[in-house]
Amino acid sequence: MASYQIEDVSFRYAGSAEPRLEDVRLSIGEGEFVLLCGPSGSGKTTLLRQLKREAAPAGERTGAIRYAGEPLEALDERRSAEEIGLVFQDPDSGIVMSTAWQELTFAMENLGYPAAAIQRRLAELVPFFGIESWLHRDVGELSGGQKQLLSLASVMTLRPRVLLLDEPTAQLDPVAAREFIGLIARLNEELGLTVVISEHRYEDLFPLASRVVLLREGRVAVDAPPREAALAIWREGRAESARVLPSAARLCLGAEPLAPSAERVPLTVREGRAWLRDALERLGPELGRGRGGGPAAMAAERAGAAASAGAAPSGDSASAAPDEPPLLECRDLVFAYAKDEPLVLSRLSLQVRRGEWMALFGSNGAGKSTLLKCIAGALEPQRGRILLGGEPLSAGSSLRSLLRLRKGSGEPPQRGLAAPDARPAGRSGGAAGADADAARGPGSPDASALAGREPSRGAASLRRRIGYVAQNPLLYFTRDTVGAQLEDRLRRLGLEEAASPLAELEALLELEGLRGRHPYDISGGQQQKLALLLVLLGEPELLLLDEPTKGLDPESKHRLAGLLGRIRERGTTLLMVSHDVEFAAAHADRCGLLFDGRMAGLQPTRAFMSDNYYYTTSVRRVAGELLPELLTLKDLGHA
Amino acid sequence: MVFGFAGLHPRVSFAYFALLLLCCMLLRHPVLLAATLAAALLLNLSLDGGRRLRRSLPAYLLIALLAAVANPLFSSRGETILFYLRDRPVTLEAIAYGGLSAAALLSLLLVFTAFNLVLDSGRLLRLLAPVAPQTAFAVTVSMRFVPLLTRRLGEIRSVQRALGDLPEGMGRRRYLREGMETLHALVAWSLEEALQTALSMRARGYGIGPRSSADVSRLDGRDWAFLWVLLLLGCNIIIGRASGVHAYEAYPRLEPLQETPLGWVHLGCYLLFLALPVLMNGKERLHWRLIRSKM
Amino acid sequence: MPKRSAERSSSLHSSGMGGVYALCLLGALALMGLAMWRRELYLPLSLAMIALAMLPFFIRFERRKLRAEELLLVAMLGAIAAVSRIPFVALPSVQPVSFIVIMAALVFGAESGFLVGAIAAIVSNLFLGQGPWTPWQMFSWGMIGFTAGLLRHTRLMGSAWGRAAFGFAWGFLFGWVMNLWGLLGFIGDLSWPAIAASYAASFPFDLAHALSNVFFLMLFSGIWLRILGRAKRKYGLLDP
Repeated sequence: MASYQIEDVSFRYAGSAEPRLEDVRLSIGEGEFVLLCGPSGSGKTTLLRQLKREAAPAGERTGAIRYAGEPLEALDERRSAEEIGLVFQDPDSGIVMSTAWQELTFAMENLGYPAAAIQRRLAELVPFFGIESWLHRDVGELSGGQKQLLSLASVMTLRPRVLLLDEPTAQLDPVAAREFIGLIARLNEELGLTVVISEHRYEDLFPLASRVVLLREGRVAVDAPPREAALAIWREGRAESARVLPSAARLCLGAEPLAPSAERVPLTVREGRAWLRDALERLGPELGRGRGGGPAAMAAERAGAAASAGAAPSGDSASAAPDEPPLLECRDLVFAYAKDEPLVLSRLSLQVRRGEWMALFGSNGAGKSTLLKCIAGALEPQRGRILLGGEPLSAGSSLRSLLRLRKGSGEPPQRGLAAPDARPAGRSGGAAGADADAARGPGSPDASALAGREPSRGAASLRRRIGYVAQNPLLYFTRDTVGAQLEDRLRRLGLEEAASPLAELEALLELEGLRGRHPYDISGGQQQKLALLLVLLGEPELLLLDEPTKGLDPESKHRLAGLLGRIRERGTTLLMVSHDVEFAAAHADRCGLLFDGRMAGLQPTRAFMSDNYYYTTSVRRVAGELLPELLTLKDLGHA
Repeated sequence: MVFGFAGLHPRVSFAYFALLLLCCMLLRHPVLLAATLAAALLLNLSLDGGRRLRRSLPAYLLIALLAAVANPLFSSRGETILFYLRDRPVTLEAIAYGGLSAAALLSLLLVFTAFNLVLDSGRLLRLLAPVAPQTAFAVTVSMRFVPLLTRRLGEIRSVQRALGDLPEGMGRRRYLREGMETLHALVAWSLEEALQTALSMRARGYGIGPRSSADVSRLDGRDWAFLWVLLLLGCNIIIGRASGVHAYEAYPRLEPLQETPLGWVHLGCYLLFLALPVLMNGKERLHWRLIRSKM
Repeated sequence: MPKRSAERSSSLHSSGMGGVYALCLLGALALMGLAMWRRELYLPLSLAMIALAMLPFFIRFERRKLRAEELLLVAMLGAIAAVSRIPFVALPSVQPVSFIVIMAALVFGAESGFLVGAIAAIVSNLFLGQGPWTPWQMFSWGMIGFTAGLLRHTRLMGSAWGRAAFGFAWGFLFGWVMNLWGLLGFIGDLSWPAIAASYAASFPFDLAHALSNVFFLMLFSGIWLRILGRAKRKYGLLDP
């Protein structure tokens, strides 16, 4: 029996003239695993929310949605709450209660289950999700992955038959995301749960899905099992749609565009390798002819280029010669958030050349964000020096500035209220893999740092030459219109609008005509660009980017890359920390890996990726030793 | 600590503390006050080795000292004049009364420290939930936001500092302004995010009907036994106090500390009452020590 | 549940709440009288008095059927008020809680104002530890919100100067209420000089509180009213 029958559904948001969904016709069978894909704004989230009555946004809908044969509107509200589960993107806003246990019982209490029944269900569910060790923890102490797991588990306490997931791993790091997706697959396979998921981690999800639905501008463009869908999407010939396909499929379809049948389209690395081995035997150097030269030819060309140009994939014109003094130099940085806490940075040294685009990787808690904040001046390292263009940014020891502060104001830095992290009990979080960068950030460190210690006046003007773009653009918005926000920034920088690069940057970032809007009413992509604009108004020489691609769909990533490329052409050096190997491989000049508070390898991108086993692109994992020079799909001439 | 006194059902420990706090407020007899103070100190020590208390003790002592000094400065009641301070007589009785008040205040603060150790936020809310479910729920949700908001504040401050908006040596006015900017970003962001939270609540059935409670804890035999003892001792203490046993008057002249037979019974009850938690913790400690020596 | 939802839109004095409220108020007054008469019973009686004075608000809150948005709004604003001191740690006397409670009351009304103030006090004490001051704090902040909400449509609260005067007055009133418990309970012989001395001792703190209220209210009322007004629209909480 079908879980959902969606019949010619169109939807328009209240107060909007444009329909967001148009004539969507879809049937979702019981036990199916449906992957909704499409760029931001294609209507994925809107469609998903239509499937749960309580979550349906205000607006006008035509057409019918039937759940298990009944119109959704006629469904009993208890049944609707129990049988249809919905997991949201951001676990921080999805979680309601203050401990994991309370959050798990929340849904069952809402429906008035007796205490004994609640215990019974918990006893079964907690081990299934592996929550035992942190069942009684405060939510604030959990890592992002644990929080999202908790959101899912809380929904699962009601034993739903359908699980709707709205970009559930967008805020997670790759390890936690993969774990989460694995769990979803398990629920689908072991419990026969119907899953409808909208998500951008196509590499992981394509092989798991039983159906792939591609939405474009509110319409269903493709609706088929994954291999057929891959073929259909490829044959549409649209570059932006093709980006949703797994690398293995794109490799294959790019090399053999006329691949005869759908069942031969590889979706995983394993299938990709099998296909490639076979294809190399069958086609040899013919492979991929007709699309910018075969990989073999590319490889030979690359090898030559790499030898002469230091292996920078995206042009080496901006990269300075290695013997020129570096733009940024960090020497032996040491940082810990509190006296008895482990070092987050331990004698970290790093040089960034003028004009380059550098990417830094590292697992959670490796100190990536902390490093960026130290360079940005948001945190002060306990020891070590940071030099910008040869001039010191930090005094080398924060003791002196602390002493100055104490003498100056007579007020020792105090602890803020209620930072639970500052309590000894909060310290146990580290073992559970809580992101040291995020979880330790608040309370204790900030209270002392809030008093604002900075080394010297000269350093303050140097600091202006460094721009810092945090991951979340909402951190930058303090005014209620975009225009007021921009004016405030100009005033703080002491700039006249006419003399500022505002107009030029607005054009560059395609942000014209938004000044009257509220920063929260523009799209997520525009918000990110607005934050970027606010930072760029200070004309920084060095731009620090904290996970700029987190939660973005492939199309948005592509546009962001173009944007950052243009910013670099204006003479800005880019240093980004990221988990996004594919993005860095395609765009960065050099990559480094942070481990245990130190740099564990800093190489030109190509050498870095070829040298890595885990931290490398999926194309590289497919091609491996078969075509050792193949790193990204760009190498094959794909856009 | 899950065993001993802290292992009692929150309702039972709350009853104990309510009575103890009442005693701190009502009793002004020097002997009883001294006993209360000693018991409060001992209770803190047996609960967490006095770690929590150590942090706030200096401030508490200062408050108590102020209370002790204030009384003789402003009151000249009493007959035994010790000396004159700027033409005002300072009396022994006023000093003694100030000391007693200070001791009562100090014991109240010490008992609250122990109270917070035994009845942490989770237990207090579990206590409140059956009485005022919606209030307890609102407070729980609010508590969930505090660490989240603290983290967000840190992130916003980082961005402000990186933008150069929190320069060294800014004046008080600028500091207040920038602090408010931080709050603006926080409020706008958090209120927007809370709409998602509302959706997540409704999606899981909030508002469909009356909520139930998942709390399965109930009073066990030990809790009941403790309650009975508490009731017995409490009645003795309160009725005794109401009928004037251990009423102590510092004015006009310090009362001598004489005990009547009834007074001894009353004192005995009070001391036993004070000793209950310490005895329970002691027994538990002994128990574990014996077990360990057997293993 | 039509009956319940009708109750939600009712005013403070309908649906039997008026009687409860009057009873509580009378009880509180009686207790106060008793406390003045039997001085040694002052502390417990005054605590009971405070509890009685706050009881009607909580009874009413308990009886309302709240939408998720309404509940979250109160919880979130309470939490924001509770953490609002963090950006001002270097200036110990600055107290933005009162300002936030006033703003919440002006936008969302007297009842919400009371709840935001009271919850802010409960929550910060749940983190920092309860003390004998907890009920007094709940009461004071709750009353700041309640009175601001009652006056929100008056000319006083409509003008920036009026709001500033209101904030200034409450800055001192707050300090005075907070002084009371220690003063009456533990300074044995109440005399006017003693009271005067205690208020003189707390004067710098109260003045700082009052002045920071004025500062915040004069400079930031506008933007806060806009931020909270936007939230009110988005939460679907417009006045009937």
